[in-house]
Amino acid sequence: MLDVLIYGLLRGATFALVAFGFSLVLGVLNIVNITHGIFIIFGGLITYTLFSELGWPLPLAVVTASLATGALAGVLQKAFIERVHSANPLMVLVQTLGLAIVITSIFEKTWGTSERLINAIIPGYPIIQVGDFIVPTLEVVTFVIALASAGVLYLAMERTEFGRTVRACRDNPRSAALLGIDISGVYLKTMIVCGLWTGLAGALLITTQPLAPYMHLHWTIEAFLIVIIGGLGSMPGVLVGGLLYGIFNHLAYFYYPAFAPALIFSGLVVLLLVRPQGVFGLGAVIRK
Amino acid sequence: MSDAKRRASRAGIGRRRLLKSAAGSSALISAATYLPGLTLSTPAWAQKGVVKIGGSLPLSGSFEKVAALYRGGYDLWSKTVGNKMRVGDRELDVEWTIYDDEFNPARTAQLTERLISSDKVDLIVGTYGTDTVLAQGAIARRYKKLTIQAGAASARVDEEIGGTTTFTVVGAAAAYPRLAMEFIAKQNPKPKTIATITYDDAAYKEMTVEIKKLAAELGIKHVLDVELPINTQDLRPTVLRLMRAGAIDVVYSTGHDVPVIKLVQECQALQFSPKALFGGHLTTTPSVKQALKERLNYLYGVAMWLPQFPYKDPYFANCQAFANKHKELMGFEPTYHAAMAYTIPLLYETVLRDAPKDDPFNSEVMRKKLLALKGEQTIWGPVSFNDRGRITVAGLPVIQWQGQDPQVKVLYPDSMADGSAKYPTPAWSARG
Repeated sequence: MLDVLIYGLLRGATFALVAFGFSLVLGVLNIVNITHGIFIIFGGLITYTLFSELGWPLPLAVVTASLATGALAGVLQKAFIERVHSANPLMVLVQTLGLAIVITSIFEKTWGTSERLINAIIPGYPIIQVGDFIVPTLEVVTFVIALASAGVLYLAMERTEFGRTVRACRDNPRSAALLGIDISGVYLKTMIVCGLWTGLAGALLITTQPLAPYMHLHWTIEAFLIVIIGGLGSMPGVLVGGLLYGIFNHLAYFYYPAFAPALIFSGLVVLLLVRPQGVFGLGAVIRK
Repeated sequence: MSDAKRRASRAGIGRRRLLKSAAGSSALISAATYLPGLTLSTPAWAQKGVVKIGGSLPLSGSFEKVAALYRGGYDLWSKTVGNKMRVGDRELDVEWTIYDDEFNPARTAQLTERLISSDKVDLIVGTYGTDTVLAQGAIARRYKKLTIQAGAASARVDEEIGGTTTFTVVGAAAAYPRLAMEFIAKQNPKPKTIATITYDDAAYKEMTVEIKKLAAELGIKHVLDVELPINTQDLRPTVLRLMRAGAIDVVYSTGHDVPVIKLVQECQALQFSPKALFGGHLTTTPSVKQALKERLNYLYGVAMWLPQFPYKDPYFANCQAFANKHKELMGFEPTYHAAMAYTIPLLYETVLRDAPKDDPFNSEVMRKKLLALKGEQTIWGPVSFNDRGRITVAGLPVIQWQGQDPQVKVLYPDSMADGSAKYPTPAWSARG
């Protein structure tokens, strides 16, 4: 059982990375961003193109994919979401759904509909083996990157001027505006940060999971689930949510694979009964 | 002189003749008005010289790739025959209507109703997926409309709608692994144990039932079956279970192409290498090779159709010619889906060639003609139907991907083989 837990934990860190941006945008802009899965796919496919087709080194491909996804998120925010968000935040749900469909079609024209997967190893150290337990070294590196990026995001939110303005906008945007904070600028930066982290998640994910444009909605839902488990408005909560989701997912699919989805969602229902705000949720504080 | 009279005079038409033709026209208009049945009930094929073919496919969602392959097969047939079909003594233009059923049985039923009632299609081509095909077939049967389908291998189709109005050109799911089991039992050293991965779909479950039965007959012990929901995203827990189940010589995975990619990925990640890993019937889907590349080396599968198979039809001398034409028109190599889908309108064409003049699309007449086909030559293989409307197939040939730039080799049956097996599969670290 220990190996199932460890593999679940390793996968869970990537799940958390998938959900950080979703939680941030949901908490600050107060919108459910359906294009979130698009960012994951975009990050993954850019990495695939740079690494597998153009022969770039993997670390450079991953960083570039993350930056490109941040840029995409910024463009979407400025060109589309900002305008509708100022009129009616609820309509953003419909708008981002439409955007996701359109962008999926563009991705399919660009990359095709096939699944892509990167076959990458750490040269000289492809696997770590302890007795029967084997894990690809790249997955350990991915785990460390996910934890480190969670730490960076947490510090950025808690210890920097940017983080303070983001939190001010999250807690009370009107008061923040009265204090001279450029709300739309903060929203734009928040979306770019979401894109950077989610693009990084996609870039790492494609080394272990096949990705294709049509899968975007699946990853949006996964991100939503993890945020619900961890608790809205808490970066440590998202990390714990991701890790818990990874472990529970692996346990369910290992012991009761045929019923795994039912078990996972039953667990979620029970969790919400016991703790409606999620494991680390801020509850009423952010429910404006 | 009025303008009309001047025009009539210039055209050399007298007044009396003008009046006569006006009277004739008004009589025709009156007849059309008071006897609408005369024109409205006249089918499109008779009115406009058009045969309407309709169906639905999951053009969006998880199965959109597969749906596009089927669509490509239909298009290829249309282009091959110049978009015309001979129906009895008439050559009619072909008009296609394919809706997106989203892999949703309720939606499929609605769309089939629409195809029959509003669009007035003459022929129906099947959709993809067991439940959607059953939904489509149920509506078609209610209207006594014949359907030829290639999207559901499950025996449920035979039991519920087969042979009356539904014909199936895909072999029974249970037949898929038969030759693979025969082949594996002949290997040296003979495998002692087998495990299966079964996705939650009627067709895949039937394959596993057959594997268990054949394993017992062939002296191979079936030690584990992992049943998975069809959209399982992560195969690591499954591979862990296989590794923890003791020595497993053969793993046979049912399921479609994406699970194969995930399975091989996880087998490599955990360095799990049974003597033979069977990826089911979809390892030749282009996306599998595109995703796995050299990791595909040594993977076994069964193939429904390959360009090297020795089949022909009235338009193509062999499967390779079909594949070349497909590549020329579509830009990529065909998969079995394209060959199978192409064969559906071809079969309609075959049975309609000497169709009765007054009612060429009579379902009962077409049904009898389809049942009468005995080894009809098509690039999909010889076509004969059993009394449940299912194509008769002995089993699917066994293939293996071989080489660092993996290529498909047909291994079994011997009559179709173009290579020999690399068995047993070496450890991942020894694969180069």
